[in-house]
Amino acid sequence: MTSEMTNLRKEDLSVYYYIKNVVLGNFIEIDEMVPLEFSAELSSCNISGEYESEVYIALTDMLPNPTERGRGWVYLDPVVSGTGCELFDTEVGQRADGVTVTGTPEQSTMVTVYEADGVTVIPPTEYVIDYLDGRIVTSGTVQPAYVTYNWHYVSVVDEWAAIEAADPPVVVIDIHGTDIGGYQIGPGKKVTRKVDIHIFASNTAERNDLVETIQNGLYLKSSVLFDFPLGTILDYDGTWYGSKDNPGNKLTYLFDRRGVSNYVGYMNFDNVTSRHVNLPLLMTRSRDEVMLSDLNAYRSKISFDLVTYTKW
Amino acid sequence: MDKVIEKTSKTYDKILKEELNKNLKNFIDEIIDVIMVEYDSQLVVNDRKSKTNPLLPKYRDEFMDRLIDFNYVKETINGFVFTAPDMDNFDFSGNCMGIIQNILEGTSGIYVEVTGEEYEQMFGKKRITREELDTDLPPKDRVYLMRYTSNVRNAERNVFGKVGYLTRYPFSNTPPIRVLEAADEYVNNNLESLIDISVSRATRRFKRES
Repeated sequence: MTSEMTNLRKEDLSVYYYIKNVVLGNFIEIDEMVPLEFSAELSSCNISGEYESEVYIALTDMLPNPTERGRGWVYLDPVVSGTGCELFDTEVGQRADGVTVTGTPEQSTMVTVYEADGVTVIPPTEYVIDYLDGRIVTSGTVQPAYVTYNWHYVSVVDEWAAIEAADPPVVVIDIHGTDIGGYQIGPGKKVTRKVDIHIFASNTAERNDLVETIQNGLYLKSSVLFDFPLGTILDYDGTWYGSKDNPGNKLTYLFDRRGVSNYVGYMNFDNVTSRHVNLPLLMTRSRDEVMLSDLNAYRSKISFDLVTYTKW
Repeated sequence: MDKVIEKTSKTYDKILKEELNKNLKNFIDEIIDVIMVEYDSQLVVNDRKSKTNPLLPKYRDEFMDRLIDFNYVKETINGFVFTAPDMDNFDFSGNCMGIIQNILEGTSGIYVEVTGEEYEQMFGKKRITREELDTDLPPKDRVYLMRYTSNVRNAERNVFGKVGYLTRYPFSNTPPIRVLEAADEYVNNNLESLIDISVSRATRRFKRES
């Protein structure tokens, strides 16, 4: 039995990508010349005991940690054409199964891997990147020593329980209610999802920046609703979908950015409002500690209606 | 002729206002009931030691009093504006309402309940805080929420002899609980019919009385 993603799941994922990659597209930091350490535990051997894949971990002391939940290395190049609402640049190419699609290729400028001399750049065709855990995976043909990468400063998660897994700033996308009604004579539904975005910042300034940025990114805006026919952009292990099978030709594997077929138009964001949440919590003893650890000290909430129209 | 129309209009307005007020009183009572049903069913705490149990009479009664005191109807020149309580307009200030606000807004992370006295025992000085959760108690009995960090755990072990002495805040790491949204839904579903009923009753009364 095969089952397709439900509309709610596609909308949730599409909102997630829109917030993370477009709205918070400027909240990206760079970590330069970070040493890479070979991990024998994570690497795998073939029958004759030789390494089949070699895994290198980036040793960073950056705070917040770039590979905490909801962050990760940047896997898309910045948008250079189209409108401000455009999620990704697009190319036409062949998917792994030979089907021609319009899609978005993996980044080519956001991660650079160097050899031990710190100058020679290793071609991207020689390795695969685990964007979630911050690792470089090779087939043993090269010895990467340093990496320079861009990473998402804001942790974006879609469940409340995951907030504590990362240091602030954390943004939680919470779709918590649905109203369904008609909009025309005949088939079709108007689906209104109630969405809250909870912002957990590490100080007032950061909270204000995030609230304003996200609210402006939603007010009078709309976004593409993706179909995700082959799953999400990243595979379960944090690598670009399909890149493990053919790292030599990254254009073979495009994120298929096809929109869903049973919808009319884009996802619209209506009734966008925001307010700060000031809770009467006891602060921890040292001011510094409060700044780093008290997730609830600098909170805000953005509420909006996510409106879509289905054909049937 | 104009004066007759004006007088008739004023009489009808007066009757309609009376009918609306009468029906709105019942409507508001129903809204409070709807919210309290949500409150009682969603804010359940099993830990009997918890001092922040929202079903304790002092919290529940205070919350209900605030619902009763809420300004649902605001009169304007052209009629009235009906407002249901929500997280933006509800009064959470003072007394023990800080607890309720915390619960309804959701809390990320693990917290423990600490009284003023326990705080002094653990850290040797009076508590520092932005705001008390419960202002109607003497300072040493007031309850505060502290993030359950390693510092707090160490102090707890040193002073009280074990980790786990302090009561864990039952709504730790809990997303917002949307108790007040029940009111919004109830108003959206029923306000229009209430107005229709009031208008038809007022019309009947007007015909009878004029």
